[in-house]
Amino acid sequence: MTPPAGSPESPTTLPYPFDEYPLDASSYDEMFEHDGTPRPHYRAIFDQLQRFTREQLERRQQAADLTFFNQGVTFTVYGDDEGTERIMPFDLVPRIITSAEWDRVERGLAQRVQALNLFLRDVYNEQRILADGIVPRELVLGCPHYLPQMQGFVPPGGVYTTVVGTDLVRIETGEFVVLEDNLRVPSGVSYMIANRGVTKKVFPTLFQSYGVRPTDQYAARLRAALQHLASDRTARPRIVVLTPGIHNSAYFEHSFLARQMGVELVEGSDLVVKDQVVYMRTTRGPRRVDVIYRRIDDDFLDPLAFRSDSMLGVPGIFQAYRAGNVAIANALGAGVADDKAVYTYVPELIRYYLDEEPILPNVETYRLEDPKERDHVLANLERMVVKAVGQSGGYGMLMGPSSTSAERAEFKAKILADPRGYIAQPVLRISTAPCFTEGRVQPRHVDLRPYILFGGKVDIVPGGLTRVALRKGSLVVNSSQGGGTKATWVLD
Amino acid sequence: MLSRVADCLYWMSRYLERAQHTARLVDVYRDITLDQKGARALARWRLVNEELELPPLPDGAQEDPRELARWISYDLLNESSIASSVHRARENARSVRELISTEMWESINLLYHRVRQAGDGRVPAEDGGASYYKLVMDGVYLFHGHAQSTLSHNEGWQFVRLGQHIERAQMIARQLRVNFRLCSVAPSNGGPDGPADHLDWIALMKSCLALEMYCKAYSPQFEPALVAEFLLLDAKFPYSVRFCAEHIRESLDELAVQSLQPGSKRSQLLAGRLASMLSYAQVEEVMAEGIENLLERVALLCDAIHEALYAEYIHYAVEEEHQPA
Repeated sequence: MTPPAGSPESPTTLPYPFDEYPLDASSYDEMFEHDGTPRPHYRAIFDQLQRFTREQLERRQQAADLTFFNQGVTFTVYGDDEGTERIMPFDLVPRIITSAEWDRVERGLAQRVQALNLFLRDVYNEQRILADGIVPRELVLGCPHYLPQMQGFVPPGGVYTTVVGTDLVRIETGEFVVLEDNLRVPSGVSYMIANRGVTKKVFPTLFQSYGVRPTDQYAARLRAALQHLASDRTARPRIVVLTPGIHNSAYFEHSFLARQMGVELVEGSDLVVKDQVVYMRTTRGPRRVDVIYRRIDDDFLDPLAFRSDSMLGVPGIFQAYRAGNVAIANALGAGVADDKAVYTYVPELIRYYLDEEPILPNVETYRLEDPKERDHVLANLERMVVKAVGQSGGYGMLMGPSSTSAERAEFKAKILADPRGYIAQPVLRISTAPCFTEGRVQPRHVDLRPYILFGGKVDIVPGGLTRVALRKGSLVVNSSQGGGTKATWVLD
Repeated sequence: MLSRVADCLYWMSRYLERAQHTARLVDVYRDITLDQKGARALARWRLVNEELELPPLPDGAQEDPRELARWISYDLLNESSIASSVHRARENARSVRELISTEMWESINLLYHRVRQAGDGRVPAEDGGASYYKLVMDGVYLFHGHAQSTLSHNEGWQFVRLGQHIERAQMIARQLRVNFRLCSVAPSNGGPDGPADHLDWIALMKSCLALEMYCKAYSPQFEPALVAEFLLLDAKFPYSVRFCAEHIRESLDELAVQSLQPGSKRSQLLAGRLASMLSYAQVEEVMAEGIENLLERVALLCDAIHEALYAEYIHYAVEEEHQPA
């Protein structure tokens, strides 16, 4: 028998296509209050979706998919048998954020990025924060992403992270909290841009009537931030995007951004270093390069300075960088600040460098080096998410609630062997957003990744990429593991 | 433009030219061997293989006309098969996708998918393969049509032209060499590898799309000297080696101008040499001297032009000649 309406697991008495939309009081739904009332800023789309038949909705979804297919908006999945290109799954229902909500997020992100850059400059130079005991010295210096070769060097303007992708989630209260920062090679912004184009085609009238803040200028703003890195040396710096090549999973994005910015897309083999200056090989001879937006990891960037087996890098580029003859975004060694264990100290960084209280809180995180916290986590693994500190993409993770006892035993052993290598967070009931799937609108878990640019000042394009865990009940949003994306509308 | 990109455009174009020319050649020979049997048909196919300088059939493969045609047309193990050439052209295009227009990319991508769908040719097609060859030729023409109209006629376009004309010049020269060698076989040897007959000349002309134009210019009679004059020395016909040489020279001159460096480049000198060698040759002298000598020089010059082009624009050493900007 159907449980009474309004109870935590019952479907609502809402009209099609919302007629089987379960409301769950334990998490925040982007569209509906707990009693099934649509939130004010979702009212218009709630009404609009009811005016479509299932066929009409499916046609719009197909049209959206076809646009992605034709444009080749793809990604490659590692570990997949074929390693084939897949079209990024896109859900047509937009995710809407109010102006007030966004303004707070924006301020919080700006604060965070500024503090992280000051931290990086400090740990690679005076190390005051370590001397003052705010962050354990061993945590930073022992971090695998800490590059001793960067000691004593300050990149132009003290800007270590030109592009940051910070992952936010909404907890039960509806508040946005920071899940993690990505300071090395954050990706996904091309999907944000592509989604915006598609969503305008799927719901043009609605889009216009809502009044959505524009995101079109991302490429121009990225270019400005990159130019800023060389502004003291030349008024017209030559910028390039450095890609590992067409077989990289994010190649589409590298190519897309290069085109949108109007700069060359190069591979390691196109660059050559002579007398500590970087040149690119053109049909008119070598041309000096001033700024490199690199999408290659630190380790692979220079076979003379780092991994000698790297075929992707440019021999001698690190020397040119340290000599100040070429700017590289993001700076090498930035990974020490997005290490998941260092993440737990970010609120302290904000207080220390900016003398402010953090606007956006961290997620409660257990530091497994601490014996008490470690014991608590090990005793409650089935309610925890355990992450390896240096990994990304959802790999190397334990999802407690859906894990087997064998998997939990495996992680317990890993933790005991290398406590510094892992952090744990209680499983979050992250918010759900309406998605059009199987002919109806259904809730699926989402997160938000805004992209923060840092040139002369912090510059954040409104919204970002909303990633959605397409599998029912799944909390893993990464594309590599079955996730998709939604358009994100920040209202005026 | 990036040297690597020039490299990709050049090879994309060479592979496309190779694919469409091979397709036409195979289609023509398929047609003329339809009513031939056994040894004579096989001899013709061996000829085709030689003209195309293809790797031999793998060990154990049955050497018969159908298998040879399949090997040349569909087999990916054959690096120079039609299918392989299309695959490689598309790979090169994919690497420089952001530089070529959407129309160019979509046309080459479509061709690639259709060729893939045609499979390995082991199941004989109902029409004997005619539609396969047509789709390859049409696909390449479509691509060039788009390139002509949608790619800015700057460096990239010049490399596309160079690839096309260097490949074409070499292919025609090779075909001429093989066919004229047959000519020199004594008429008394009437066996399977006998002298070129009327049908062979027609095949040669058709494969260079030259039959109708030749007949207009001369007559339906095929005199070796006239064939040589038309396919080697004609200034206006697109499938003459001289025409290709002129285009090669133009492209290299244009690239040199755009490179903003003073003095002639070696690639220009070689291209000039090839073009003038063909413009000032007289067919009577060429035949008297033995056409294979001229053809040999053409082949060597084409190779040398390719090497010089690479040394000047693509694989140059950064330490040497160039002053960094």
